Amino acid sequence: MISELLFFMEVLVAGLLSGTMYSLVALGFVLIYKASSTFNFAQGAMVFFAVLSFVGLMEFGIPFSVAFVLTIFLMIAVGLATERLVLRPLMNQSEDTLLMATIGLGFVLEGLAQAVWGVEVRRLDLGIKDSPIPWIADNLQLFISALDVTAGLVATAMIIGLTLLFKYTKIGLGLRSVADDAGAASSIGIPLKHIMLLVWSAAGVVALVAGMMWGARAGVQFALIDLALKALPVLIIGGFSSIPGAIIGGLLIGASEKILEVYIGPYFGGGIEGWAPYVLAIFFLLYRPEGLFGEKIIRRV
Amino acid sequence: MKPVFMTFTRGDIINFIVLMVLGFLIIPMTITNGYWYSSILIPWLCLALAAVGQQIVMGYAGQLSLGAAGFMAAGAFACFNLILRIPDLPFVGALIISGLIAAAFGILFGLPSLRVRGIYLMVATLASQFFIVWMIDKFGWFKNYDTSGIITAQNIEIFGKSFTSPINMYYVVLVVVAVLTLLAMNMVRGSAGRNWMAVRDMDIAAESMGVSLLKTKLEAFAISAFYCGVAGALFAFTYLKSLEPVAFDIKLSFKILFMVILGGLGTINGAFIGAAFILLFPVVLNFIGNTAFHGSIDATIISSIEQVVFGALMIIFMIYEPLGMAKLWESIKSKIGFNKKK
Amino acid sequence: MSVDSNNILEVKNIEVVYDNVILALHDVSLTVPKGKIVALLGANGAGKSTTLKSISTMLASERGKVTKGTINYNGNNIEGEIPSRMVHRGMVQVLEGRRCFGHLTVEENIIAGAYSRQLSKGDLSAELEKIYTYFTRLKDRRGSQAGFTSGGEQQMIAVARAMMAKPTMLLLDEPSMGLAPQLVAEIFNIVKELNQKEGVSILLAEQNTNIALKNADYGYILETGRVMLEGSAQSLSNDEKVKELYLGISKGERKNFRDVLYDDEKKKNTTALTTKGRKFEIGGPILEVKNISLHFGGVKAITNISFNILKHEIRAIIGPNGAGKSSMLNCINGIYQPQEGTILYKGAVLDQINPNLISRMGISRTFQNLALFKRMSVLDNILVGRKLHTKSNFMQVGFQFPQAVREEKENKEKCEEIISFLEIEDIKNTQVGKLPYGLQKKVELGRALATQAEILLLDEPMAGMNVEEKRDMCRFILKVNDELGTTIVLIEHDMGVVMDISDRVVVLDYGKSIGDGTPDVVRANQKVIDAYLGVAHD
Repeated sequence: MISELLFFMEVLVAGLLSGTMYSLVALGFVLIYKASSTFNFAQGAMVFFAVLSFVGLMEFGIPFSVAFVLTIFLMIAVGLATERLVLRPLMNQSEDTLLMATIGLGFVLEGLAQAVWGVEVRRLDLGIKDSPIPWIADNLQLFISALDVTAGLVATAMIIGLTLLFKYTKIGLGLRSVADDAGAASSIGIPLKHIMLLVWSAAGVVALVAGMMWGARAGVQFALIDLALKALPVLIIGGFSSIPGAIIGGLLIGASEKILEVYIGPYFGGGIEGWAPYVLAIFFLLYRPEGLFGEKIIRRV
Repeated sequence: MKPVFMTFTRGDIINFIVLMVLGFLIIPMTITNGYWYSSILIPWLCLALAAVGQQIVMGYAGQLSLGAAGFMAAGAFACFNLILRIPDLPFVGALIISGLIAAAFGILFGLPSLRVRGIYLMVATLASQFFIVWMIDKFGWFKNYDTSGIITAQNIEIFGKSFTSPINMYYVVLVVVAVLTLLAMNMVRGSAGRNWMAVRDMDIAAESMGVSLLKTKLEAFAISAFYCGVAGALFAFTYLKSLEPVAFDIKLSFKILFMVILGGLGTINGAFIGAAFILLFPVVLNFIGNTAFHGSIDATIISSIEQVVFGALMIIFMIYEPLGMAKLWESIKSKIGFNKKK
Repeated sequence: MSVDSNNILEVKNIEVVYDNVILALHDVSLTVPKGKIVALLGANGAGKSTTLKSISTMLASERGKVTKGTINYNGNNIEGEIPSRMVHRGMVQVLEGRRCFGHLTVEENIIAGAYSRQLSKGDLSAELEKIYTYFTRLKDRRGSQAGFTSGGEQQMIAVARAMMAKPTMLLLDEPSMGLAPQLVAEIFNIVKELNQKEGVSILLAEQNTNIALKNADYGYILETGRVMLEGSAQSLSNDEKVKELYLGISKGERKNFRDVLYDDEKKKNTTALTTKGRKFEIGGPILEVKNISLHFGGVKAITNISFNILKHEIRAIIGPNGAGKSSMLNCINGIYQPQEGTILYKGAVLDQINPNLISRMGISRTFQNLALFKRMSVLDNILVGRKLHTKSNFMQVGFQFPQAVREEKENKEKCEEIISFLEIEDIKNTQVGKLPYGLQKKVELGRALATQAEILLLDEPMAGMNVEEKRDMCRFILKVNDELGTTIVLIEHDMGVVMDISDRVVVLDYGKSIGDGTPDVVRANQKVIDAYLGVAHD
């Protein structure tokens, strides 16, 4: 009995922590959605592009911290280019048009990354091992990966920081105003360009961090882009525009994914984590489309 | 424009005759190399058919769906199993039933559209994409417990005659696509199409005019899935000549999405134009890569460039011509026509 | 170029083009002296909004640009400026249509206005309190989400927010749109106060010529992109042409629309209205609303309202903005589900109400903010109205079965009839999204007519129209009621229209019914006069 419970705890905790990895990716989406009510399909590609460039730079012999800073600048440049070439021309278009444009952006970033850095899988060593922490294993009989814990801490820190930013700072107010009505915001002097640039650059940095965590675990490879698709159920459950929602949604998806796979998966022959999160998301869509923490869609007739 | 026959105008009838002559007479007479049929025309027609399905659900009814490839997979495997297990079932019959099975999936996974829209709906349709492919993979029955991993599609037999040569398969595909496209054109121009577009443009007003959102949306999903199902079956039987779930992955769904958007959302022409572009562009790119650079450019780099170009084109079209190539073509036609008049 | 330093704004001979092809303004010149209120008047589509946007440099977001002429603000040319810089220079535009930040609270909205200024926390609170002294209504609602406040409150939020940016010049775009007379007067009082006490110069674009001229110092009348007339507010109010065209006052006695219609038709020798009386006598109740209550979250939109609608009558629902009129219509139509009360149709209680069911029962409607299918043509829009008379399904349409072909033909004919009735033949194949506002309203009416409904619910069918367009709409509504016997339920703000064409009126205020009867009875009801007709009607 005890061993069964322990096993469940292990699965649960592993799921929760891997869930925070999803949250990191989801966070990038939330940032952009909060500021521009746009779903950035290219976020997954940004994760890939960011971490690949980081690793690629290190391969040239550039030290870790320098490469990190350089990549941040690179992501800011990507933000600049996106704002100038994609967002500004499409300022007053419909949501769907912007969505399509971000899909295009994703393909561009993906293709660029591959063309420049090639397709081989690369290893990323962060100095943190993706293996059970010894003293937890010894004392609590639980096997929890150090990498997962680190990811959890990083994610929590980012989320706290961003939530505070949005709610209590002047720039956060500006961001929320732009999200509601960019035209009206501009009419009272809120500088749209700056806000957009800030948001996309922030999303780029978040993408880099998320990519580094995932890269350390699974190697830096193409499949990272599918991560973006995985983040979608997280966003649905947490709410597209909620930063705390990203972490709660991530936890829920991570946990349920692992639990469903371990306990229910065998009845289906395994492999259900491919679609189980989506089906979970569908249930949310039917009963609470705005997610647990998202903003209710105000539609006054 | 006064209708001449049913709701067709004279212009329509002329277009139809020209296309039929081109497709059934001129092309077979002038193109003899099998490569053109098996690698260009056949896949183009199959994918265009799927794109027509996508146009119906997304371009006309305005429902963002990313499940096209999943429905294609459903149709392909349904067709395989039907022909395998029901002796003497005519191919056309199998096609129709496959389409209906795909349509059933379409209705099931279209249900979320009654509650959500936009990106939320897209996520729900992704579920269908992943689920259907997983289901086919997991349950060996669908693949007839084949362990080799490669399932060969059966030969097509219609009225006892075998249709296995490239040009014969081309004829089969052409007939199916022509008939279904004609049906689609009638639907989108008539009350069915108007109902879909009304739901797309302003659903509350549509409801107030008596349009049932439930029926109309599910109808669009069902018909679209039917078209994708038939297209998938044709694709597997005449192009791939095999059935592999991996051929119907999310990448294919994205491809079809690109086809309708670049081609022109909300037009049947757009489906064909978009499919042609998406299909031919990589061929052209490869050609340039091999001849101009003497094969020195890596294949992966070429496919990366392909991706960058598709992505960039998507962005460019969204900015400058959201109505796609079909609209661009119209603009060019009217400019030329205008000049001609002078 | 000499610039008069007494003017805060000088616009000289500007030409404005949209999308590189659509000429919106031909040759507009105007000046705003420092500390004065100048009004820009004219009908919908005259170019008022465009003029304001070219001054505040917000044209670019709509793909427009100034192609000729100059604009000088405070002595400096504004060419090449962007909106956020204009705000720094002291010019703020309050956009048409309220445009509040729906998810932010009222207070957050107002604070956002101070974004461009570097204010300390203390200064910010002080400024906020000052604003609240002007906008007392908003102080009470400071914590509510802006998206759930009423139209009048949202308009105030927009102005308060703009004032927080401490402008020296304010551009107001249609502040009275969609608001009832009393609220409009309240807002204009605040604007006047701001002008006098804070010294803010004001340029305002208004369709409500009456209220604009009452509050402005000077006025310009625009028509199709040109200045037709200008002068001091007083001289314009006394100008005969202005009176007739824009104030609806003619030299002779104000005629009843019905009589006007009868005379018009008689002159044209058409036999539409055969007699001065009614063709369809008003019958018994066809629709009854009993004890309806509706609330959204904490906001009570409708409280215990009951009234009935008689067969073949024209029933008007009037009341200040936020009174619950549109919500009432939405309840009848099934878009909103009231928490309490019942609705009876032809004597039978309706249990389940949704728009689909209601339309099948023979009740159709138009919408306040236009709900046309923008990407379809006029003809196609109206054809959708024939949905209830189309029995063929998609298969029959796909295979072009005889029934489908026949139905399509018949429906098209019916729609052509409606199109010629509404006199919109020449635009029948145009994409609806490209039409001017007034024509779109007509198309919406056409679409509702195509359903051949017994009851038509019209939500402000004449909003944003000038006197001539309103006359046309009245004519159509009367004709429909007279020739087809269609019962009409009408929400309108124009008192003249309401009094002239309705048989009975119900008056709402703050979600409650405060008057119900014939126009004359309602007009004399003191409660109604107090709540709604506050400003004396000309």
